[in-house]
Amino acid sequence: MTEHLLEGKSLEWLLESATDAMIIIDREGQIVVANPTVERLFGHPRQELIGKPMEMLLPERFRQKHQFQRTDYFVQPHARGMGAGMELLGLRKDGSEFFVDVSLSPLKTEQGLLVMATIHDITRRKQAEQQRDRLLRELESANEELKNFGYVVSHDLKAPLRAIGSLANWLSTDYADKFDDEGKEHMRLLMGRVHRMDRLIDGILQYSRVGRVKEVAVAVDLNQLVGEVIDLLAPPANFTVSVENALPTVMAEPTRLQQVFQNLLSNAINYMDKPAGEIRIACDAEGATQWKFSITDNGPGIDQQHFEKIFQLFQTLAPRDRVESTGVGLSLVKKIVEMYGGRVWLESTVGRGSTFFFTLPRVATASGSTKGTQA
Amino acid sequence: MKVTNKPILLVEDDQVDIMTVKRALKEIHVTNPVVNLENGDEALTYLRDPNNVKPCIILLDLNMPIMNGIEFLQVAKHDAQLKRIPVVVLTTSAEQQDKVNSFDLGVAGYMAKPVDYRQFVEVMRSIDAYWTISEMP
Repeated sequence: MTEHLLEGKSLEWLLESATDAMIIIDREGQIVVANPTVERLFGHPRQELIGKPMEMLLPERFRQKHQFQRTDYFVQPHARGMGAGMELLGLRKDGSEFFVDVSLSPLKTEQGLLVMATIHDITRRKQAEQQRDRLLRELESANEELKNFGYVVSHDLKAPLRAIGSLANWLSTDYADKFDDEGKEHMRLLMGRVHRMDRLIDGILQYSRVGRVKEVAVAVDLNQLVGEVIDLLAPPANFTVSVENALPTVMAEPTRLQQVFQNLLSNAINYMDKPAGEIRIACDAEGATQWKFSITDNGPGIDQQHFEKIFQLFQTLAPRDRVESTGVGLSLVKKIVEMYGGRVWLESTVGRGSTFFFTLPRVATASGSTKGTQA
Repeated sequence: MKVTNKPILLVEDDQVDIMTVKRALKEIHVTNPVVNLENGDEALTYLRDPNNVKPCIILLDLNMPIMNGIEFLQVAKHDAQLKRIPVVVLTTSAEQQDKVNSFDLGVAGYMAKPVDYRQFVEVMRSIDAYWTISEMP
């Protein structure tokens, strides 16, 4: 028989070397053995511990209950963690308390049953957990506030805006003969700005609604949906809009997909600078799990330096007086596509045109079905 | 409106919105008197007072202090004396939930107040046209 690696080493040696605090107690709950780590952890010299009830290492308020549990344990001893799911606290000599994790092992000896308790100081882990929980709560409440903020602000901004619009209209109608040409022009501009702000607010509302307002995800036949969007946009006669291959059916909220196609297609139409506008829609498999859609136009193209910026809220590349735009469209597209776990990007040559790509999972999970996926 | 002697009850707290409705009605030659009350609670008190003529239609804002439009509907549509008076919601809210709640409570229509006054006039014109043709119990 080969000599065991630890041959000749005593239990005492093992306990002395252990980095975890270990105590051994007898049937009466008295401490029989305590290793040096126990001294460090609890601040009691060993001689103060040996022969004392182990409850001295617990805060007063838990002691009585613990005595009963300890007695029970000796009736049916088995190796286990202590107080699973409960917060266990240790008491130091100086009266301070700290979080511990304890595992128990029965030791059968000639003197009878003893129990070894291994004690970990988990203060740091607890602190980290508490910190994490606090941050999570803060984040949740900030997120909740933000969701409501968009709605409340938009809603409450609309009422006064409508009043401004009505009053301006009445002024220019009722006092038409009092305004000179400049005055009339100013009123026209004033009402134009009211409409612009109205569209901006609608944009914020739309944007904040994505992820906040849930619709039922259904099987959406994109051939049909894209056809409807094209009809709705009614491109001018100088446009050719072609769907290059059959589009798939995906599980999603129809309104959201409609918003994606509508915004990408209306951009292609509104910014067209060629006498004959061409828009091509296509779809390919992207890997095994995704569809990749593309919408290609022969419009003015976009300089690469703007590729990031155009997806930000309220960013436009043309002055608002030239192309009336809220700058919400592409950020809405991005938010929706990302909500479904896809991504959106573009390729473009200035003067030649742009292609916007986006991916959607083939088996689309219902939007925001897990809380964490919402931006 | 089919009957011209009954009042139109306007439950609305925004002064300019009240002016807007009155002006628009005048513009399209609706001659029914307009009774304006500022919240649902006042509207219920008015409707339950036997001295008052029941309105031919209620134009209801949703966002009001004390008792909002939805709360008003919850009471009015469970009151046998009031539930047949048509209620048309006139609101800023384009929220789906507000629409669902309103129709669940039996409103006759739901109009989002347009920011453009001319469009507002068209909304009122449509409401008048409909309730001029529609039979009422």
